[in-house]
Amino acid sequence: MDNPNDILLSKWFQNTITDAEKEQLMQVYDLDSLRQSLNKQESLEFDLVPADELWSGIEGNLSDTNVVSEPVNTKSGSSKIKIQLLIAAIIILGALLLYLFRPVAGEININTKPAQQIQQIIAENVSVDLAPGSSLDYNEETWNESRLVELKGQAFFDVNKGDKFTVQTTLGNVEVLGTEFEVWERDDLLQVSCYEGMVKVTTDGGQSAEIKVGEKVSINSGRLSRVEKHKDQGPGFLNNRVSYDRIELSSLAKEIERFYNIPVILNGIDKQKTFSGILISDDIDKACSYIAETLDLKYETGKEKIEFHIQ
Amino acid sequence: MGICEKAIYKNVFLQWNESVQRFLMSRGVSPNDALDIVQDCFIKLWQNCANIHEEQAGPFLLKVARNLSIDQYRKGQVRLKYKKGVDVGVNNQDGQFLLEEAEFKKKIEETIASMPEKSREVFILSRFDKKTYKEIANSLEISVKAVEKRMGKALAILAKQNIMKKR
Repeated sequence: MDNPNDILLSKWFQNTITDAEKEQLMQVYDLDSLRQSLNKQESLEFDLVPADELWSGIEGNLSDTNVVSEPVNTKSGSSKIKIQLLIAAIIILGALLLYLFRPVAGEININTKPAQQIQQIIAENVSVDLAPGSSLDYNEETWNESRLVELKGQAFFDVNKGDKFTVQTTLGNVEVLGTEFEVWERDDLLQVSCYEGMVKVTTDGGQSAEIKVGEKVSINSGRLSRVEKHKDQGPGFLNNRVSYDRIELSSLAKEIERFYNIPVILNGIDKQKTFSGILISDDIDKACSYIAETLDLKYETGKEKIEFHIQ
Repeated sequence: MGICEKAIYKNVFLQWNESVQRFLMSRGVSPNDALDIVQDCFIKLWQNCANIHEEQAGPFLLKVARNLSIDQYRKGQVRLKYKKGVDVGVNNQDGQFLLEEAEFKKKIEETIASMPEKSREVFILSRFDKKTYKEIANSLEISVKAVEKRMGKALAILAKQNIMKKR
């Protein structure tokens, strides 16, 4: 049963009570006494388990396999089969300048600076998302005879079904057979993940592998890895969640610089230690916090640089 | 966007672990059981991390805590202790004072235990978790008006206990 005085008590507690209402309340309750009780209660607390003790019991029980993966934002509407190439190519945005300075007729270059990401249509019906710090080269005039795209870095391609072309990187080639995939070339590692259809990956030495949707393969130091499965629907960089498996910290630092365009310093840290996890690429604090947490480091962010160091 | 990133999830943990503990302890759940249940709550949160936004984590955790402690409800006692730095007068007060302090503490524990569930939840979130009425409303998924009513009821119970003797 609702007692109207209850609301008045609540107002009194919040200091929003009128004088008249207070007078009314004082007839019923000893407010001074109540105030004293509350003050005394203020000095009491529950006997809580400390957070880190609690956390250690929880952390060990977290299992990735129980988690439903987040849906990735994929391009909608079009029924085109998309191809993702991790091989970066250089595409220069200022096409006019390029046209003036290009060494070969028809050569087009597109590139992205650190922290810059662009989407562009090339060769009339190939859509490219170029991740930060990457570049793409292709020849418009000879496209019909020789469909070659040179990529450095990381990109996602969206191609019409039936259109074929080849993405070349210094570490290997990816033949697009009308699909959707990501090509990512970094240091000595080329990673190709297929999200739809099929692509064929070839090393300089002539080894090749065909991968289809849900599969990925890499070329490491010239050698083709075995084909592995993945559960992604699209490339991490388009969803601001870039995934790494055992990347050396010195390389990770370069990756952070690539996505955020800010120098990263590893102070007193073994640069060959590896990191496996995610680089959040749209929030520098979250990114550093997550990495520091995972590697048990401390970090400082500033306008000029980011520094990681040992606890 | 869910909370499946470990850093984000841990932030949620740091924000809410104390509230969930207090919630359970104020229901009479023993410390050992509370420890297990709190951990279960957060593991359940992780299992659903993709479908929960940061703002929904609190309500989710409290709901799970309530469900997992239904058979523990009112079994044990509410136990409080003095916060660090509070001068309980050990050094310079007489025995009578200490006795009164102990009695007061016991009275508060009993009063909290005696409150009806809904009022008690609000009282704890306000007085111990230090949440505003709006935050409490969000956490329990009720209106601010409902929070006012329940808090009022809790205060009425506290007032009726007449814990402080007029000196």
